[in-house]
Parts: sequence; structure tokens; C-alpha cells
Amino acid sequence: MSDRSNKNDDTTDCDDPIKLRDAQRRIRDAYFDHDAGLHVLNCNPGAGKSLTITDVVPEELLRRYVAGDPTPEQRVCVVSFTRDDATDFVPKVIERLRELVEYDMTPAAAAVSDDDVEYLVERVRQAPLFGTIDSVFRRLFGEFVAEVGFAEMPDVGNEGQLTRLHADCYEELASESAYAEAIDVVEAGYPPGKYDDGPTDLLRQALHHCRSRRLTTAEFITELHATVDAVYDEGKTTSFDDVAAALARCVGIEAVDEARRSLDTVDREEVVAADQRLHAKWIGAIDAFETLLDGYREAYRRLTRERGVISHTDCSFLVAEFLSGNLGTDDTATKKRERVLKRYRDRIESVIIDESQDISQIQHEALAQVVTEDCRILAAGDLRQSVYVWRDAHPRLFERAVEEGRYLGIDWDTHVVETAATSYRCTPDVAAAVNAIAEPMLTDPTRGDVGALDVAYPRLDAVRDPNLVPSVHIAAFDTDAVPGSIPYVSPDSGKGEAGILATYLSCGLADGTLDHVDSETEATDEVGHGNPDVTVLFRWRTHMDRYRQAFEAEGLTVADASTYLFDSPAVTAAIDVAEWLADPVDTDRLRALVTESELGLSTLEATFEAHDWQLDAVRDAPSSDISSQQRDVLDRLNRLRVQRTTFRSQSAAVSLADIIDTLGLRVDLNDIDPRVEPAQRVANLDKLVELVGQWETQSLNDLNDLTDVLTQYRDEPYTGPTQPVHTDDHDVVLKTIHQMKGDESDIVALADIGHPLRKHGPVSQRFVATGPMVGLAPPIHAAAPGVEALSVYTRGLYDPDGDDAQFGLTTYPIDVGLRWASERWSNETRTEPSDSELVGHDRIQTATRLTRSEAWRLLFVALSRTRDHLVVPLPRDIPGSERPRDRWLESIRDGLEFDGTPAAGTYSIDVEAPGERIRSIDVAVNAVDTLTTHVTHDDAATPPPLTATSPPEKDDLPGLVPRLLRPSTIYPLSEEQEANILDHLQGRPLHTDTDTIDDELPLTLNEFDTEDVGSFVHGVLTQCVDHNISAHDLRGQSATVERIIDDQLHHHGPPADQAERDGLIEFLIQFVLPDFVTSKLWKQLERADTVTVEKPLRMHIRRDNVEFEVEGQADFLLQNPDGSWSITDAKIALTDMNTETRRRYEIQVSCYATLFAAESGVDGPINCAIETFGSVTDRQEIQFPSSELQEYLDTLLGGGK
Amino acid sequence: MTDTPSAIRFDASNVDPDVPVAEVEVTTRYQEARAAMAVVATLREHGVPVRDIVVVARNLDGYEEPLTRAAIRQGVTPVFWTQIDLVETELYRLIVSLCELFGDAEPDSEVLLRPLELGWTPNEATDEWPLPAEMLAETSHRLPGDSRPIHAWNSLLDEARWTDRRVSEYVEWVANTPEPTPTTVAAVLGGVVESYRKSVLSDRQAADSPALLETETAARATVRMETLVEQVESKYNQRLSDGWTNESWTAVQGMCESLARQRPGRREHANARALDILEANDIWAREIPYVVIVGLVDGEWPIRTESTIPPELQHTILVGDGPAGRLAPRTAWHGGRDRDQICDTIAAATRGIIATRHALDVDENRQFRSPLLDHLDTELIDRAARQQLLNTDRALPKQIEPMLPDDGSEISGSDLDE
Repeated sequence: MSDRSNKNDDTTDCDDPIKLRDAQRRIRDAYFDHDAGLHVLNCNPGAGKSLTITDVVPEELLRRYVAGDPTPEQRVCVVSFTRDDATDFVPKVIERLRELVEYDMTPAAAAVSDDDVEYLVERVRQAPLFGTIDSVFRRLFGEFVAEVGFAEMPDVGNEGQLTRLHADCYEELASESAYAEAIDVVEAGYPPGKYDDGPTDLLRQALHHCRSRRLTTAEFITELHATVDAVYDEGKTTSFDDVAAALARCVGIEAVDEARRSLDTVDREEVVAADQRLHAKWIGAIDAFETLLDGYREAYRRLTRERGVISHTDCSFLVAEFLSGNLGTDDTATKKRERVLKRYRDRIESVIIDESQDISQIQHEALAQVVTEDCRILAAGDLRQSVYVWRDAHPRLFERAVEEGRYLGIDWDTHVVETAATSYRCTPDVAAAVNAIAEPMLTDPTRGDVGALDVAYPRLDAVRDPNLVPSVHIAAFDTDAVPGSIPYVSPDSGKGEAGILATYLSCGLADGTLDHVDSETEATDEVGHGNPDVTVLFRWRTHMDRYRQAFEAEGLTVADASTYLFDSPAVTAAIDVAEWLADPVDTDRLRALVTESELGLSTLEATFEAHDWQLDAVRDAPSSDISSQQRDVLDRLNRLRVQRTTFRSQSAAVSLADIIDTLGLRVDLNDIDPRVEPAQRVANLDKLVELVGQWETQSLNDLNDLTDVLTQYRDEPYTGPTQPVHTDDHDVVLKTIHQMKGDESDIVALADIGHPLRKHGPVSQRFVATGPMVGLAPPIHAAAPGVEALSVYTRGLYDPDGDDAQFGLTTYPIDVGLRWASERWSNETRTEPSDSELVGHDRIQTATRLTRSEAWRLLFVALSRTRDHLVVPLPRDIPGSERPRDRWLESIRDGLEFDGTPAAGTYSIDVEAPGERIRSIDVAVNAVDTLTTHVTHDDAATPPPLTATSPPEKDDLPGLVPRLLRPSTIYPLSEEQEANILDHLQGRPLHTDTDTIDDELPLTLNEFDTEDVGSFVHGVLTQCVDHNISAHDLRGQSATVERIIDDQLHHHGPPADQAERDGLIEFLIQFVLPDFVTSKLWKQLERADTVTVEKPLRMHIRRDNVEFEVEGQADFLLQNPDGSWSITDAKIALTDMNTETRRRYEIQVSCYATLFAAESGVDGPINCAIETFGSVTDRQEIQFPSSELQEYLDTLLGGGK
Repeated sequence: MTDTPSAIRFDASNVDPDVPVAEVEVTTRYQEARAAMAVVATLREHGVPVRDIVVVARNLDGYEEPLTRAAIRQGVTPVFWTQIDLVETELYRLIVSLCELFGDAEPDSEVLLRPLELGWTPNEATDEWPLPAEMLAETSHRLPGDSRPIHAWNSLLDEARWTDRRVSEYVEWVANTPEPTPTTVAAVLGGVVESYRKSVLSDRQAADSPALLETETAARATVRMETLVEQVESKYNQRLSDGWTNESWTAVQGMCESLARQRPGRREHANARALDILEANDIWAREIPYVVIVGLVDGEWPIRTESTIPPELQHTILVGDGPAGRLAPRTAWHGGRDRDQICDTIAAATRGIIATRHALDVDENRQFRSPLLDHLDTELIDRAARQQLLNTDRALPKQIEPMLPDDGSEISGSDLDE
């Protein structure tokens, strides 16, 4: 997708910086003209809302800086609602800051140097209050976490943790007897279904609502009761007259007459009794729900603090509650609150809010705590783009800001509103088409204006150059199927909605019909590749896959940005295996893995059954029923089972990555996920592992814990994230309109426009919290199936699971009975003339109206994403009766004045443009060359990613070659690498001889070992030489010698008792020192010009491109009077030395000589020797060619002998 | 108008301008790791010795895992020059699981068996230790799910006909664990470490790949755990003497956890064939022909650091006028440390630099190019070359090829033949 939404798309001179125009400039000027006040930019799509903010912020920083504020970013708070917008913001502000100065676009620019600009750039990067609104609240919350019961700053918005936490909250309730009765009632009343929320979901939603509206449980329950009372506005049912009155109130007197006609006395009595039961059970369910919610909130409060995790809504809630004084009332908390409020209120002088229509009530209340009347506010938004009411957005707040100047809890004295109608995004024809469709739709009281929001429609006024070819396209098709149905979208024969759209796009891209309007437009980001970007927008995902198939059939490559990650077979296979690994002996788990997973083992069910569900037995079975692929899967499962214990000692993400690698899922070794492109499969699995890594905390670090979370997402993929779109080559992207919000595309195509708007509306919801209305539907066990029909209410009083098919209705019910929400229109139930309106219980219908109006705004958002070409698939004739209020189809058709003709070509329509002008636009109908087909990507020509073809195989890595060598370890490592490598890796001494001690020696070792003895004696000798101790003093054990001995005893060994110490000293005095002073080494030491003791030597040596790092210390390095060099190593023998030991010492000393020669550049021979003392007294002169060291290193390279 | 602190600019004076810099932008962190390792593998194919290449990150925490797998896929053995993360090792978890078990009056079967799953072995273990995973899974499945005192578990296992005698032997050992005095704690835990060294390490070695990746980590952990047990004994002793804690295995567990997160310890790596992967604070004063720098993303390098010092005061100190001039600024306040490290990293390269970055985070939010790259003259690797780098027909991008020596020889350092 191109990222150009912030540009005024004036292409006349691309080198000049963009300048604010019209409303953008006026609001900017007004903002800077006032030190305080509310400034509102009410903005059309593409009118430069974000651009204005990106201009105002750097200018504000410049002005403050020039005025003497060295840290101006500390005074400004800039918030947006999506992380994408927030991350884009800082680079854009930096770019604009540089532009403002470079082009001298503001008076402050003249007063700053380049250094100043770079300094300000750094300050922008560190701005603490630039980001998402949630990030600002996180910062505020971090100031007082301890005062609200958290040990440290919790993890905010960690979905994995929260999913587990909610599950655990419910588990806690379910395990306590105090809640047993309430659990029974709620579970019976609200069993979970494929599209029905169960108790856990309902409690989670209720808790969320309580927090987002700052309601106590009692207040919340009062709201639920108010909804029941509104449904039973006539009071508790005592006679059929009460039911009749409700019918009359909801759908009109005709319905009452019909009911009275169709029901005899017995039926009526039954209806009354059923209605009484319904009411009683509903109240009972709410009472039980209250009990559970109380406990749930307490468990949630406690667990969030124990585990250190909260949701974003919790964070806003805690900020609002604490800063307003509702939470934390003791002295410490009060003082902290005062400090925090003072600090932030003193500091924040400007607040800038992008997409202001999306702010929620709790966010508004939290932000209001730190805003004062001295602040300068800039709020930019568009009520017509308010499509997040379902996610707590509260556009009424922005509406009040526009109309009344009330915002963030303040009635602003200074209140400036500017409306930016000019669109810099779309072509004039597209703007006209959007106006033609959207204006009547959004201002119609039965469509976009059905809700409480007062939506005006300032027409889009495009300033881009007009396109010479049509920008508005209709892909027309013939159908007699019900709009929105499968045959309508993709019939068995012929082209339905998906097929015709695919053909139009494919041919239009190929024949130039859908070319870029201007040549300067270039896509430069990761996914773009110079062609126009094409986005197909959906409200629902229901038919998305059918569209994908249709596009692929036309040779288009599709990136589906809306497929859920946890719908990916490779992803679910990994989760399935992780779930099995939690208890691989459990037969049920193994059965589920075999029969339900994507591993391709389901045909082995009988084989497993025959082998008593023993994996090993099946693996050993000679059965020909097991394919080689299945055998491979079974072998890999076995490897994981063996590996299972290692999962205990590593993070869950690493374990999951191990599972993926072991099963070869990225490579798809066993055709688990063959339909997905290799790159997409890799991206999906990457995302899974990275997501889990992100979720991990101390309490969610184990694979078993994690599996609990993952299986919930696997079972309900729509609750999780979508798959990444990372493929470089695609022609078309499929997205939901919500995913596209704030973005734009060269070509926008609408899909699935015949789908009924009521899908997933309040009628089918069990918990409704839309706008001011909160309600919990009656429990299903209150349904009264005995009362099958009550006039227009074919489901009687209440029957959410009823089958409407018998009444010839569609998949999505218009209502579920008299006692809940309805999607009925008054003119369908009443004969008296009146304005058509949605009928039903007024309180509940508030939610229906809000949901409906948002659905129409969503269509406006979809249309207004278009830059160059808008493509819509429309039937030439609408099958069945028209339902212009219930789906988008008619509104688009009417707006474009499409009557089914021409068969192919164009027609013109006149559209009212801003300023009472009329714009005539051409609409193309099937005007593409169907003989010119899109060139299909040649997948075979592009080699696949290595990751998708080659699993990581540790066994293929070259064997370990010791890198850090000591001269003393070269021999044992090369001779017996396998035996010595573990000690080598631990830095422990490598032994080549035994630890035996000659019987004649006076040594009885307890704390010391033979290694310690050697080190001790060795230390004494070298220290004595280093201290120039004379032979006399050595023999006579002078005080200095005694001190050296004491020091070395202390240094080289653990605490030893006196007897052991005495033995060591005796050994030294009797068996070492006398021989030492008579040795040839001693004589050499006495004669040498220079003596260096324990000479450190180090060298990096390469053999066959492999580098060894050799490091050691030669005991005695002497320069003789003739200039020659000698290296002698002293060895302490406690028993006879064997050949191996002698050889090891030879290599060691020779290595010293090699290192020394290389280090000091000595060309001549270096005399090497080993002098042995102790049990054996010996001197060995060493002759050693350097090639021998090379041979040893080569041996190491070859893995040892 | 205000004073601007002077020392905030990127100092590129010690960067060798002759060293070409290639820049690779890919989608995700995982792809970035793959791209980095593909570069390494391709350089190796051109005869570059592994020791002439180094991979550097500002912080390896987020890169270790993807780089490891990417390297292995490319046939490269990676070594990370970071302190061992003891918490993620089997031996550490074994020790902690034992403390948890000893401190639990009524453990459930999961707590009871976890030490066995983590490789517990008796002092004089035979070849039949540690216990195989399948047997433990079977045992776990057969044990009741409730909690009970250890003696009750002991009795249950004694009486059960299906019990493996080794499990009984272990539970018996648990039941006989002494009270936690400093001496007994050191003896018990030290004994477990020693048994692990003698029995489990060799077992891990036997099962490991030839590169001994897991064995090396386990060996490092063993050395570190020896020290940790000594530290725990000393600290526990001190705290008991000071009256700050009571004798309890839970207290011992807490000390283990506290000490393990300090992450000291050896950093040497044993494999001469392995590729060095460093954090930027370790690159100082080194000279390596090819430096692959990963993670050049704004926010990661430079990283945003929070300070408790108010920004206004930081600024005053940085400007250095008046009394504030006597206060020393922290380099992190103006990203100085990150700048120093990128300078060191760049200066380390003698032949070429390959800088990689990713464009999207896990939530698919955009990640921006590090502003540090603005100071370098980089050559962006185009899409086709990048794709080819990551595909099965891997090839060195043309922007990197000039970094290779003309004669193809890459031998540097000392060689005994010369």
C-alpha cells in the first residue's frame, strides 16, 4: 500500500515542500494565534488532517525553542490511535521540521542554525508524549503503579497473558463452591457456540465495559435491569394484554390483532406463562451474572497485580480513577496524585489529537485529568469516519467539541472550528462518485443518519487534475441469486460478484484501463513494485476466500491481509503438536492429534486403535496402510517426544520454534500446508514464534502454559491476529475496511456489497454494549419453544436458536422474538403511514440504530480510500425485492444511477459538486478488453526462499574444533578429543596420567588433589626465582622462602589441615628444592642475562582458514650470555611419568617456543627443556620442528585422532 | 533562543571512508537474521574465513534466536559473545526445581517429577540415568493429580506395582533431604551439580550434533552453577547471620534466582569454526575484514533510554554553563553510547560493512531506518538482489561483491605456513 495519505497531492511541482492550504492553514493560524483554547479541524477524507498535524507540531517546537525553551517537546502531547500512525508520526515531524527551516516556511526558521535543527530532531526522537494515546497513559500510569497495588510497571496489552489470565479468573470461580449455583445458571443460560459468547466471553466483556465506563458492578447490573425493564415496559406480564401492549409498542396494533386472531385462549395463557417464566429466568440469570461478575472482578484485580499484566483499557481506567481521586485515597496516594498532576499539568501546554472521533470515553476522561484551561488543543477528526463505536469509540465527544466547544472536561472560551472539505487524495470523478453515493446515504434517517450522531455531509472537493479516462467502474453481472449468498458471489456456473470483479481487475490492469492517473506516483515500500496498488475491501471476511479463488483463477496473485494467523494449517499444526506434547502419553491428546490435526494422520485412526494408541507400536507396525509421509511425521513426533524434557529448560518461543523446525513446517515436508505460498507460510510461522516471544513473561514462559493460550486462539482464530502480508509479488490485496482505515490505494474495489447489514448485529449478540445501551440477552433456557409464533415475531417471545428457514427468511434473523432486539422496519409491520423507523424496544433499538449507522459510515470510509479508480460489482437487475436500508447494494447502484445498461461501455451522470456546481462523470460498465488477460506470474521462474526449502539441520554443521588452546592441552585434545572435550569446555584440567602418588612420598592428600600439589610446588619454584632467592636460602628455608610457601599454599589449594600442610611442605623440602638447586635449570638461571618467569605467550594461528587462539605461560624464559634463548618448563612428578605425559609436555614446551619465536621475531633455535622434580628427577631436552605443531592443529581440525 | 549542547553530533571522524557499506532492508526481524546469515554464508563461499567475519548487534536479546536458526540453516555455526543466560539452562532449572520441591510441603506430581525431567541423577549414577522422557511421561500420567507430602508420595510409589525403582530411589532421596543449613544447601546443590557434570553432560554430548552447540552451553552452565552454589552458600550464611531470612528452601530458591539473573561468567567460546556474533560494546578496538551489522532500526539502535533526571536538567548539564558545568553528563542522554558503539563497529571493518534492518515489527507496525545510517554513505541492495540472497539460488549482491579482494585470497592473521 502506498503511504501517501498525508500528502496534498498537487503534482505540479513535486520538489517544493507542501504548504498548508485553506482550512488546513486557517486552523494552523488560529492555533498559533491563541495561547489557549480548543481548535477543531473537521476533516473530509484525504483533506490533509494528518498533514496539518505534522505541520503544526514542528512549528510549535520551533517557536518554543526560539522563545528559549530548550526542551520544547516536553510541553507538547501528540496522540493518535493506531501504532502505525504513531510510528509514522515522528519521522514525518522530523522531515517537516527540516523542511520548515530549509525553506524558511515560518518566522522561527530564520532564528535557528543547522545545529539547532539537528538538536531539535534529537529532541523529537525523545519526545515522551508523542505516540498512541495508550502509550501516553502507560507513561502516566508508570508514575503511580505502586499506589494502585502493582509491584512494578505491568505489561500492558499482552494479549497472550491476558487471554490466559481471563481463563484463570473463570477457572477460579468455577472451582469455588460459593459460585457453583451462579455458574450453573449462567452456563445453562449462555452455553458457548460457534458464534455465541459463553460465560467466559460474557464476563470478560462485562468487565471491560465496567472499566471503560467506570461502572461498579452494582451500577452495571442496574443497567442490565434497566434493559429488562425497557423490554417489559408494561411491567411484569400478568395477562395477555401485557403481551399485546408490548406488541403494539414495538411493531404496531396490526400485530396485536394478528396475534389475537391466531391464538386461542389456551395459547394465550401459554404465552403469558411463558413470558412470566422468561422474565423470571432473565432476572435470575442477571442476578447470577452479578454474583459471578463480582467474583470475577476481584479475581481479575488480584491476578493482574500478581502477574503484572493489564489491558490498555485497564491502563486508561486506572489513570482516570487514580488521577480523579476515586482510587488511592490514603495519604501516600494522595500526595503522589498531587505530585503527578502538578508535574503533568505544569508541563503539558499543548495537546494534539489525531482521529479525534475515535477517542473512547475512558480515554477522554483519563486525558482530561492532565489538561487545564491554559492548554492549547488541536483536535482533528471526521464524524463520518467514526467506525469504531463497537470498540468503545465515543464520537459524540468529538461532536460536542465541534458544536459546543466542550472537550476534555472543559468548556473552552476560545473555540475555533474549521472544516476541510478539499480532498487531495482522489480524482474529481472519484470524489463525485463518492458524493453521489454517500451524501444521500449518510443523510438518510433510515441509513447513515439512523443513529444519534448528527452527521452533516460536506461534499468532497477534489483538487487533483481530472483523469482523461473513467475513474469509476462497474463490473456488471447477471444473477438471480439472493445478494450476499454464495450463489450470488460465486455461482457454480457463470460469473458471480467475485468472478466479474476478478475479470474486470485482471483485464483492466492488463489493457491499461486501470493505469495510474499520473506518472509521478510510485510505490516505493516493501510490498510495492511500481504497479498500481489494488485493494479489494470487505466488510466481512465471510466470502473473502471465494474472492481469492476467483482472482487467482484470473491469473492475479492475491495477498490476503485478512486471513487469520491461527487459521493457517502450519500454525495450527504446531499448536496441535504442542498440545499433545504437554502429555504425550494421554490417549485423548494423541487421538486428537491423529484425527483432528493437519498432520495428515487421520487415516491412521484404525491403526492407532488397533495398537492401543501407542505411538511406538504404530511406528513399529509393518502396516502398509501407513504412507511414507505419515511415517516421517510419526518419526518427527517421536523426536519431539524424546526432546520434550528440554522444553522444560527453555522459553516457550524457543520450544515452539523447535517444534516447527523438527516438523519441517516452514519447508512443509509433509504437505501440511500446500495451498499457501512458501513465503507466506514462512511469514506465518515467523509471526507465530515472534508473537509468542512477545507474550512471554515469567508466568507464561513454559510451553505448557503457552499451549493453553494458543489453543484458545486456534479454536477461535478470529480473536487473534491476521496473517502477515510480506510477499513481494501480488497484484491484489484483500482487506477489511477497518484494516484500511487511514490508508489509501490507487485502485479500490468493493466486494460483497450485497451482504445484509444485520449480520452480527445486536439481534444475534448476547451482550450488547453499544452507545448508551447495555444489555444481557435473556438466557437460552428461558426460550419458550412452545410459543412458535407471535404475529410478526416468528420466534415467539424469545428463541435465539430458532430456524427461520421455515419462514423463508435469510441466514441472519431479523429478530429472535418479542423480548430482544429487532431489525424490523415500521413500514413492514404497520399499515398507518409514518416515517419508516426501526421498531422494537426503544432502549435496545438504540444499539441497533448505532450499529446500522456505523455500517453506512463504513461504506463511506471504504469509498473514500480511493485515489484513482473505484470499481464496484453490481447486478444488472437486483434479484428479489429491493432492501435499500438493509444492504449497501442499492445505495451504490442508486448513487451511480446504474440501471443495468450498457452491456459494455460508459454512461454519464451529473453529480452535485461543492459550490452548487454540477459535475458530469463517466461511469464505465464492463469497459475492459476481455481478450487482454493479465500476465500470470511465473512462479517457477523465481526460486523459492531457502527457508521454505531447507530445514535447519544441526547435524550438518561441521564438528567442533577447539578454538582456545593452551600449549598443555594441544596434545590430549588432539589425541583423545572425545574423552577430553567436556573438561576442555568447562575449563577443567585435562589429565593424561593417573592421580596416583608414589608410596615413598610424604603426601596424604585430603583437601588438595594432585593438580593442586603441582600448582603449589610450581608456584613456589617460580616465585623463588622471581624473588632472586639464592641456593643457600632455598636450602636453608629463609623467612622469604617460608612466606612464599605460605602464600602458595593459600593460593593454590583449599583449606587443609595441619598434617596435610606439613606433608606438602615436607615433600617440597625433601623431594623438590634440593634437586632444584642442583639442576641444570638452576645453573642456567644463574648464568642467564635475563630471566622471565611465567612468561605469557599468545598467538592466533590459522590452519586451513580456521583460526586457533593459543595462549599459555612458559615457566622460565632465559636469554643466555651468547644471546640464545632457552625455555624450560618445570614439572612436578608424584609418580613415574608415562610416555603420554612426556609427549604432552614436549608438545607444550615446543609450543611455547613457537609462540615466543613468532611474538619476538627470534630466528635462531630456541633451546627447550623439561625439568622434572619430585618422585622423578629428570631433564629432557626437546627438539621440535614447527611442522609438528601444525600437524597437531591439523589433527584437531580433522576432529582428533 | 537557547544554547545547544555541543557534543550531540555523530562523530564520523574515526570511520574509515574507504570501507564500502551495503544496506539491506527486509520485512521482519526473522528475515533480517536470514539475510545477515545469507551474507555470511555467501562470503564464506567466496573463500572468506569465518574469523574474518563478525556479526554485531546493539542488543542481541531479540536476535540470538533468529540468528541461530538462520545460521544453522546456512550451515554456519554461530557463537554469541554474551554472558550465558543461566535461567534458560537445564541445570539452573534443575536446581531451582529442587529448591521448589524441597520448599513445598505438599507438592503435586508435576513439581515432584520436574527435577527428573531436568536431568536429576544420583551421586553414583549408572548408564541408566538420567531417566528417559517417555518413562517420565508415563509415570507422570499414572500419578494422581493432587498434592501430598513427600512421604506420602514415597509410600504411594513404594506400593505401586508399576513404579520404576529409579523413581522410587529419587523420591527416597528427596524425602531424606536435610534441613537447609548453609552447609547442607551447598552439599545438596553442589552434589546435584557434580552429578550433572558426571552423568548428564556426557549424555548430552552423546546426543548432540557434531558442533556440540548444546553441550557447550551445558558445560558453561555447569561451570557457572558451581560458582552460583558457592555464592548462594555464602549469601545464605550471611543473611541467616544477619537475621534477614529464616532457614528455608524457598529463600535459597530466591537467592538462586537473584544471583542467576546477574549474568556474570565466562564468555569464551570453544569452537574455532564458529561465526562470532557480538554486541556492539564488545567490538571496540577490533579489526575484522567484514562486519555485518544487524538491527539498524530507529529505537533499537539508537535505543531510547529513560532517565530519572528531568530533560531540562539534562540539557543544562549538557550545555555545561555555570555551576552545572561541573556535573558530568551521561552519554546515554544524547545517545552518545550508541554513537560511540556504531563508530567502533564501523571502524572495526577493514574491507566492508553490511548493514541490515527490518521494516516491520511483529504487529506489522513500520520500523524506521536508524538515523545513525544517515551519516554513512550506504548502497542499498535492490529488491532482486535481496531476493536472490534469500532464495535457494543464493548469490552475493553486486553491492557486496566489490568488497571481496581481487585475487580472492582472504587469508589474514598468522599462519604457520608463512
